[in-house]
Amino acid sequence: MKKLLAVLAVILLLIVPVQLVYAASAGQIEDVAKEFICNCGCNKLLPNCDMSCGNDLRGVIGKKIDAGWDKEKIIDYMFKNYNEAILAAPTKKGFNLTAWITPFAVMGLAGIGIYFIITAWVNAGKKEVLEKAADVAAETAKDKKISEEYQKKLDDELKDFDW
Amino acid sequence: MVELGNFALYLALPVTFYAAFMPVLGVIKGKRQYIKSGRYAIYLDAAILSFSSIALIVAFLTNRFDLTYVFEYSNIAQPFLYKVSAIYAGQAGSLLFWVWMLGLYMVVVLYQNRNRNHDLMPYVMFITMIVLLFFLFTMTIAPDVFTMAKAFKKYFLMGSVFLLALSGLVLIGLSLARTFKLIATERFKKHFKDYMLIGLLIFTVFFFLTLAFTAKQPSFSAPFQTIKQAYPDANTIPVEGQGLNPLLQNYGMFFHPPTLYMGYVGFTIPFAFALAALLTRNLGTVWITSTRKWTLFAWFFLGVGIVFGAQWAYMELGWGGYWMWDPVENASFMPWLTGTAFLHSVMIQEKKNMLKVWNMLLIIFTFVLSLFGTFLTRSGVLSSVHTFGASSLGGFFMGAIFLVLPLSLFLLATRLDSLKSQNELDSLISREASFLINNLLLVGAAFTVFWGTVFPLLKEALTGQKPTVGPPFYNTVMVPIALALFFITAICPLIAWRRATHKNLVKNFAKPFSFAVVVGLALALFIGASITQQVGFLAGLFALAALVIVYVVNEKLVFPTAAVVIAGAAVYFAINSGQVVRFIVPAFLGAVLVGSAVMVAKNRQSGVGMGYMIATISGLAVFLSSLKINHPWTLASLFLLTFIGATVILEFFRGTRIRWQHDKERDGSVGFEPYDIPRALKAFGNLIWKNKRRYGGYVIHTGVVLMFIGITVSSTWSVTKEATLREGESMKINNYVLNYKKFNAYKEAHKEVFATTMDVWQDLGNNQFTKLGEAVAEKNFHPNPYKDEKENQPTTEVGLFWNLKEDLYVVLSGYDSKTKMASFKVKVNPMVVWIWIGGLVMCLGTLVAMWPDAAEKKRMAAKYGASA
Repeated sequence: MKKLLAVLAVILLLIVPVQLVYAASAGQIEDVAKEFICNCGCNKLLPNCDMSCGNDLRGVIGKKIDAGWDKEKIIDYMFKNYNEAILAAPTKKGFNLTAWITPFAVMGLAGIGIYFIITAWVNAGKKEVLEKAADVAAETAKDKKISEEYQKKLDDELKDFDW
Repeated sequence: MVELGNFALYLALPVTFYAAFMPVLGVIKGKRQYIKSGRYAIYLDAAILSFSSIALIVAFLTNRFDLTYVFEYSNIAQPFLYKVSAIYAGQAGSLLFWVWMLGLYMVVVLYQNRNRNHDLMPYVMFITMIVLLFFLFTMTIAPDVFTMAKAFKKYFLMGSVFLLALSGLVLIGLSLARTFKLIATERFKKHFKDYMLIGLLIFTVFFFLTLAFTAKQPSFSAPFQTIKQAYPDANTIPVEGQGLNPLLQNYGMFFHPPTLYMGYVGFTIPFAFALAALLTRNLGTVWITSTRKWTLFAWFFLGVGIVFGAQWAYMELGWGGYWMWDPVENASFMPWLTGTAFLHSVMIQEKKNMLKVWNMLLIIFTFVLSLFGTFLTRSGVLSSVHTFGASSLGGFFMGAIFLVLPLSLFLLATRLDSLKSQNELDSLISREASFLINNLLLVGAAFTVFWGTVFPLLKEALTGQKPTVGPPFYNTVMVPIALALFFITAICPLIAWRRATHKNLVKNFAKPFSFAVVVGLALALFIGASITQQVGFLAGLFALAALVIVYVVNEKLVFPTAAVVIAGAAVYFAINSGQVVRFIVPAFLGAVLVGSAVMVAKNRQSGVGMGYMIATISGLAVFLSSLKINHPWTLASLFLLTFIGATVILEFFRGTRIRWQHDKERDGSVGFEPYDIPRALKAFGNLIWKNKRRYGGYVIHTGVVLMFIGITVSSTWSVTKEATLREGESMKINNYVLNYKKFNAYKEAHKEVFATTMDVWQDLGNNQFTKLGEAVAEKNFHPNPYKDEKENQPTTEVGLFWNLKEDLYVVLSGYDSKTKMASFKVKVNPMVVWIWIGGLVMCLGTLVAMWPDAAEKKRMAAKYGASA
């Protein structure tokens, strides 16, 4: 029964239209709100959450904008009051910096590795071609030597031939 | 029937066990009838699992609320389609669906391989059945084993872990002894396989036992578990069920989960073939050619599932977007990316007999990522819009990953000597090399998604704080990777196999590149408020591309080209901005670039020079992106997508022309007939049909282009407007006028509906309006005393008008039923429909590539023998 009452209470909360109790425009609020994720576990970006939790948080942002706070100050305030998980992306400071750098560092290193691998394979291919060319040259030289020997023999025999 | 379904599920357990080990025993003992018997066991297994799955569907249709699963996911009023699809609404049914699919897939695999791959098949059967056994275990005896062992859990667990570790060590020891010939006795050689089989048996049993003992609580994953079993204190059997989660009550439910599952399960088949190839040392290309279509099939369904999910999110979640980088979305995207890399890199193995180890790694990681996806969905370790899937089974899947990954990698390591490829390339500038870069980018993208997904867990483990890694992170990090991928996709078909020459590069690049430049310039003028800046940005982009091309064509020209580019950039920035810093930065970067270019020009193999060059180009890109130019990434994306499109069109055009000429020669007709459309279409059709694999691939690329044009444009130029209106009041957004006509509140079975109707008019100018129709936007509440707030969140039905240009998307965000005032969030999302059209084109391309091709079969058979 308690659970049912709780559910009905939530529904009542939800069916009340969004009352603009602050002067900040929807666009101004959305511009700041998109930096946050809703903290009720729905995992939606704050501008996209239409549950009571989303309305409450947008209300907090609206009031701060009314008070003349800029975006950075509101982000700091939210960070301090709702902990780090409310930010939609990790900050670019301290340990969180690894979140931003690691993908590019790993891909950069892999890219350099692939470059060296390709170069080594190209060299291996060239080496094989050179070896084959050397073999063919040696074979040709050998054939040439043999044919020279035969030519000499033929010449000698022709010379000795009694015309 | 339902009771028999439960019995069948338990019966499948020994049958699967039999089907797993009999074929291997048959190989060891040299008895073919054992293998045959294993095959029949798999047929029987598929029949049993089909029966069990149908029994669960019947349980839903007959409202068997005495079963926990039916009680949790259905109610009397639930429509027929949702009752049928509720089979995979929760964990137990999803697992049953998983094993059912795998059972059916195996029947097809056995049929396909009835006359081939006799050496691989026993091991393929073994691996797939072990996977199936794991899933069966989680939904049958795992909770019972846990409950039975609860009293002695500690001792059982210690014993089980000890024996698991021992059997694992023995297996590793045996493999090492065999690989490095540490034990050379004849007896060992003769009985090696027996020892391995016994070791594997013991290992498997203790692995499952350890998993069961480490579970935190008995998992309610049995599909046929009764209310009495789940809740022993319950006195009555419910006469009504809780009903399906309202978010799942959408037609997407009928398509999104099963297509995703079909993809996930499908990757088991190429994975099993890969491991079978490793086990049998039959490490040629046969396992790849035998599973190419299975890989494509799995990749296709995973992709289709992802697109269905995006479409569902767009229509049902009511926030106007389609992708939110949710951990579970990411989980499906990762194996899709590695699967894409695999589909590309196997071409190199087929053509050049290279990348054998890499392909093995790719398919192992693709399968492991499929398991990881299930782990993320089921564990609930990360907040997700899919939290209805979370359960206590996460640990089991983590355990499975820890088992599969090291064992597969270990097996691969012991076979490295047999996987030596003919690793030779003719040139750095070749199609083969571009495929490697394509693989780097695809796997890099998968790693980035993985990294972003696990980073909160990693940081929490190290610092105790759990950050959120949401869309702003991915949108920043993934965009450059996607752009690089677009670039390589555009140029890859233009580069010749083996070695690209100066002449063919110029010939191939000239037309598509010029076309993209023209379109890019037009876009720059269209997008930018400041034309000078846009043109400058675009010139910089083209200059960079020109640098790369010049390097490719003749590295000695890099120096003068770089000098011209840098001088031009410096002058441009100095004139345009008038700021010293903007002059110094490009000048400095230019100096580094010229230096590195010289190094590269002097010595082509200079890695340092290349590194400098990459660093400088990246630096320049970062610098350019920091300028206040309107949407630089959008501009770059559209330019590159145009480039890909132009490349594909050119490929089709050239191919069609050649085939047309060929047809004409064959017919004996003479003369040029440029307007002979029917013949051109026939030639075009023949071109695709005669080489389905190649041109199917190009159709897929076309789909990707259309999809990403939709994504790029809609995420850049979406317009949102919010307004609170009384009945009769209007709002305007772009050239649409929306008049709030009426408010309606009514009750339906299990839901309360609050609907608003708006007349939608289009402003034609000069006070001329045309009515487009009515947009009905709803908020639906589903009061359910069994669920908490998050599960009870209202569902949204958006009012949508769409055309090829844009979507008008109306969301009811709040209302007061007394005053009938309503708050609306209205969006104009340009080109969203192209995302779905792109998805359809990708499906079409995949179907073409998968279509049976007698000519291809002949080519393969000639190349690899009958086993292909």
